[in-house]
Amino acid sequence: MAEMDEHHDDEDSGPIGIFPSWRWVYWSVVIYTLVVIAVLWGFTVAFNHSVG
Amino acid sequence: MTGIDWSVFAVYFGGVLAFAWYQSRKNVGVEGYFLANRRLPWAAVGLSVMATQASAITFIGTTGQAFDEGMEFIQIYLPQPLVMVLLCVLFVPFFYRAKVYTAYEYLENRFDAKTRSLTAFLFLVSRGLAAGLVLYAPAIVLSVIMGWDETVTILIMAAVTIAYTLMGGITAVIWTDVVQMLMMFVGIGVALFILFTTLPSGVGVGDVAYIGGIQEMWTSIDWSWDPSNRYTIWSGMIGGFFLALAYFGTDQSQVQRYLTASSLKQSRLSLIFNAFVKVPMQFFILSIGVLLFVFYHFEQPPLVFNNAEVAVVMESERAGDYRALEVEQTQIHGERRAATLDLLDAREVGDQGRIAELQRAIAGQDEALVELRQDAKAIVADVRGAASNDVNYVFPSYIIEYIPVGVLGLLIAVIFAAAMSSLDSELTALSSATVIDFYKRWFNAGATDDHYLMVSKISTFVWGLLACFVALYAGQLGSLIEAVNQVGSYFYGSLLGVFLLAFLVKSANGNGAFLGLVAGMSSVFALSLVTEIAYLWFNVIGTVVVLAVGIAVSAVTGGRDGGGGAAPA
Repeated sequence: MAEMDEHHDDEDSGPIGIFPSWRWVYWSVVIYTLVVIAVLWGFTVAFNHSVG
Repeated sequence: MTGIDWSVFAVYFGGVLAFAWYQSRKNVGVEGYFLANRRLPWAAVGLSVMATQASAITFIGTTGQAFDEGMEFIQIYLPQPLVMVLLCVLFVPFFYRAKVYTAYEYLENRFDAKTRSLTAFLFLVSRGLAAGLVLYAPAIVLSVIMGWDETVTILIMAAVTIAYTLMGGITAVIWTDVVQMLMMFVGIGVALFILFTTLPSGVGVGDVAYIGGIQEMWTSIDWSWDPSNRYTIWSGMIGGFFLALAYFGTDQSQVQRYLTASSLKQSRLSLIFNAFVKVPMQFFILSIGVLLFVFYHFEQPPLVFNNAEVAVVMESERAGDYRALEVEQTQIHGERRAATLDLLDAREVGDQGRIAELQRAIAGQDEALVELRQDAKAIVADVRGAASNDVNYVFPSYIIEYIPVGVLGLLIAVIFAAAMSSLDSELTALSSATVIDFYKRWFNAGATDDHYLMVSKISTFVWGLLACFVALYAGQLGSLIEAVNQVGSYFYGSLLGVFLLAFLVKSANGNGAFLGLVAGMSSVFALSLVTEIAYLWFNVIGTVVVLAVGIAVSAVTGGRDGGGGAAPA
């Protein structure tokens, strides 16, 4: 992650949509992945009705 | 299929060809044909990346897999968002700034010609055959389920795909991929909606979740370390990470897509789009399979969904055994249906004792029915002399039996769209590697742009014909194709190792990369012969061996300047 902002072209720097920089985009994806895993784990537990 | 279904189908094919023709007018020269003159927006590129990965077998095979085994397959997709970040940070800037046409061309800039040629050759061999399988797999399923002629199905799919790829090159391919991917989204939504509407009245979302949960069909995360379990969070996050990184980062059919973007920023955005959308899409596709599992608690499913295999069994001396299993299945299914309806009533009144009793009964009946299905598939395997691939027939069998007029045409068109959107990408990728990495590099370096454009189109056409040939003879080539596919999985991780060596190890040279690649592939091949390691781990092992050998050989042969890194053509 330390290298994330090293490779910037002129057109590639600055805000990316609602994000201030690419670094924010990348960290959002990492957090998104963790949230997805947490949600799927919750899903696994909540809908497990096995009798064994 | 009715007239309305055929009309939907005809509109799809006509629309794709007309749209491709419209887009093709914007192409100029070889750069236009292979890279759309590097001017496409991120949304189109992102949808094309997704459509290329989602073949027809993704659509029909994974639904069948979820029907049999539940949601656990989703774990293999969980690292993909992280892979997209790594691609954006590490891979895309190198490819984009080098202004290359192919991923392998970059390797000559960084290492030498022999490393470029070996990696490009490995890509051509594996993807050349895979293109045939992209056509063959859905054609065989549709021929069995719809009664269509397999050869005609293959030829129609191939002819239309080759036509629009030749006409418009990568521009037509990417824009038709956009349409085809949007059709797949609609198809997934429609399939889920229809599945809910074909459940008995009064059965709601909560009931579906509950019934699926009795057999743990919604289990999406498995934290166990059991190495014999194919899909756990660990094999998914580690093995799946390396597999996805190798596929998206080194396979020309994907690299070519993000090289068409109008800027580095657009290229990265196309991958970030995939990071957010891919996992939910797979979740919904797998949910179709679990919904089918619940649906068949109320409607009796066939023991084996591939009716061609059943017909063969019925002509054999094992027909009596198969019929006996069917009788037993009818009885157990009837009991399970009654118990399921009773369970829903008991839940409504909150009778906990009765709920527990019925859950146990249903769990036992589920297991008995799974065993009967295994026994039936064993009979099929015994009669045919080959294992049954029934998983691919579960969803198509449902849509032909229960989907209403008009929607059936749409869903069959979606299966075609999934196949064609993968095949068109393979054809442009194969053609670009053939022309740029071999023809132009080794045989004819100084020709005009028009000449290369003509050779590129001839190459696309020849690869299309080869894909047709492989698809038409895939049945007879069975074990050969399986072997080649298996060998393909041996070098994916090794290819990734070479690219990581190029990006991360400044002292690595051409000899290190080349010998590392050979050592990586050999190690994985040797391990596959003497161990039972699951295929996902081959990618990790291959990558590590290439890096280790590559670094060592580079050090011994004098570092970056000692490896014969010839100037690029």
